[in-house]
Amino acid sequence: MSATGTFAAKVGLAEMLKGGVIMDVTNADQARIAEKAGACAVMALERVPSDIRRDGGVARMSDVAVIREIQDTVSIPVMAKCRIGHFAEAQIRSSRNRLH
Amino acid sequence: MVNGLVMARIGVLALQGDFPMHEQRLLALGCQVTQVRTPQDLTGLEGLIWPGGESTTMTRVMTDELRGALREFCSTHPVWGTCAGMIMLSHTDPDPRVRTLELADVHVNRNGWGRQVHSFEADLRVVPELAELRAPVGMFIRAPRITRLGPAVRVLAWYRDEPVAVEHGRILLTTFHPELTGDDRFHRLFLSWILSHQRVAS
Repeated sequence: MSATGTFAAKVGLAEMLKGGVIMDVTNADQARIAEKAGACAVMALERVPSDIRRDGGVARMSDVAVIREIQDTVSIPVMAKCRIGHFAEAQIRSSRNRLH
Repeated sequence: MVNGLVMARIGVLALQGDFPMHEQRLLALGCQVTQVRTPQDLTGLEGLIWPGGESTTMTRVMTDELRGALREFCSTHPVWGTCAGMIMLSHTDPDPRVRTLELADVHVNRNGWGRQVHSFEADLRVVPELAELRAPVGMFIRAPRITRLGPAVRVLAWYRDEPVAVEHGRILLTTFHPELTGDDRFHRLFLSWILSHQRVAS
């Protein structure tokens, strides 16, 4: 018997990130720099908070191609968000996960 | 003093990772626990747990001084590596991002099961000395996979037919995370090593 996607497996990942720094990145180059500097994970964002403050507007989900490129560049965990309540974005994210 | 033995003084490497969970398990078993961040922290310890986390981060934040002190300590005392801690004590494929100590005759493939979506939990098969009423549950979080074992390495647990816990001398290695489940048999096994070490020393 083995099970993936369990609550304990998700909490387990969070435990592993303790004592580390998770950096916001928008492309593979930034992710590489973050990993090299010792980040324990990266958060793949369409725009980082300072971009949004400068330009206004909202941050959408990152382009899935960019997320994939970041995943292929670093060996640390890559997280990506969708907008709260945007189930279509969430479905796109999960389908990318399943395909991998 | 319990049964004529001094309370075990165990260190948990606290560079990055799930060291608080290991610390909790050891405290529950009555150990004296030290979080290890500098070579000086190793003074007086009888054993060390190298917890899970990110091997790239551990490589990056470890000073050469600490690396040397850990190499010395782990060659002379009981030590247990879980997940990334196991990677750091073993051999792995060449990658400039990860420098391991290569103290155990074990070769691992990092993230051998895949990404976090492939992290899983499963019942394990164990050697008789670790057997209890229930099989232990192995929590595999982006876990490494053993690709080669040296002749002096003994397997302690399997997932299907694959080794997932091994011992090489006084080095205990688990690709999964016993500290994340309520089952403390691997912590008790490690503690028994420390106590037998105490007996030999006294």
